[in-house]
Amino acid sequence: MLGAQEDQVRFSIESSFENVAVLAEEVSNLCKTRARTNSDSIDTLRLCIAEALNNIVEHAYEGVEGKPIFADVRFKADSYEVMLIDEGKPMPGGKLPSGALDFEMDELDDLPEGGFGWMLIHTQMDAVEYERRDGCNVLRLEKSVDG
Amino acid sequence: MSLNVEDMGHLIVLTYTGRRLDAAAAPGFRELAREAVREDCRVYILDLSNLNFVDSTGIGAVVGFLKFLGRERRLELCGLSPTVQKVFRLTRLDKVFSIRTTRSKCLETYENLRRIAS
Repeated sequence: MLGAQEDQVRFSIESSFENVAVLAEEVSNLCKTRARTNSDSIDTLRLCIAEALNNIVEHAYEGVEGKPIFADVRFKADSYEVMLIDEGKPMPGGKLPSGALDFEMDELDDLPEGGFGWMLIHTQMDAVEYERRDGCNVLRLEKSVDG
Repeated sequence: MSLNVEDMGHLIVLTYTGRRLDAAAAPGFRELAREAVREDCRVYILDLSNLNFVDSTGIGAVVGFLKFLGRERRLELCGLSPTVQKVFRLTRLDKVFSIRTTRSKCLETYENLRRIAS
């Protein structure tokens, strides 16, 4: 029987935007091989992981480099999940940002230059959960295989 | 950093030579794109055909450039891979930008416009 250990892979990086790129690439490559999912949903996963990690570097660690970030990837029968763990500041209000973003396309001056990250995560992942655990932020992203 | 600028007189072609336009690369792009703007040039083509990954910070930097150019200038994007195109679609920014398949399509359109105008 396969134990939980064998179905879980842990990655770790030190916080920086450059390392975000590396980790998002490694995690999505692993999911591509292990979960046998199509390349379109891997592209989406890579993007969402990068968005979540960027938020950790920028907000939880306030741009400070060299802080620990862990990514635990678990494979289930018909889905996979990525848990991102950091020791930075909690999310504002202890809650997951909603990602709601409304803008008028005709108003050049009002176009948003940011804030797309959570919108992408919420709309593209099948489950998104956040909790503060033992002084850490734990963000769980789940995606069904080819879902 | 990675922006190739070709001043063609009536328009300027900016070719992003990097593979990624993400949180790490966006500040450099932001600065170089602004430096490439010439007071009396109104048309800018941003060729993104080398790009295979863009995140929301990267796309935000392209929005920033559009806003920097303002209403008096035009920005055309071209060469978006399916992966990059998808991020524009998911953020609804595909409706904000003028996007053409290739750089030659952009140039062709402007040559035609110029011919009509002259």
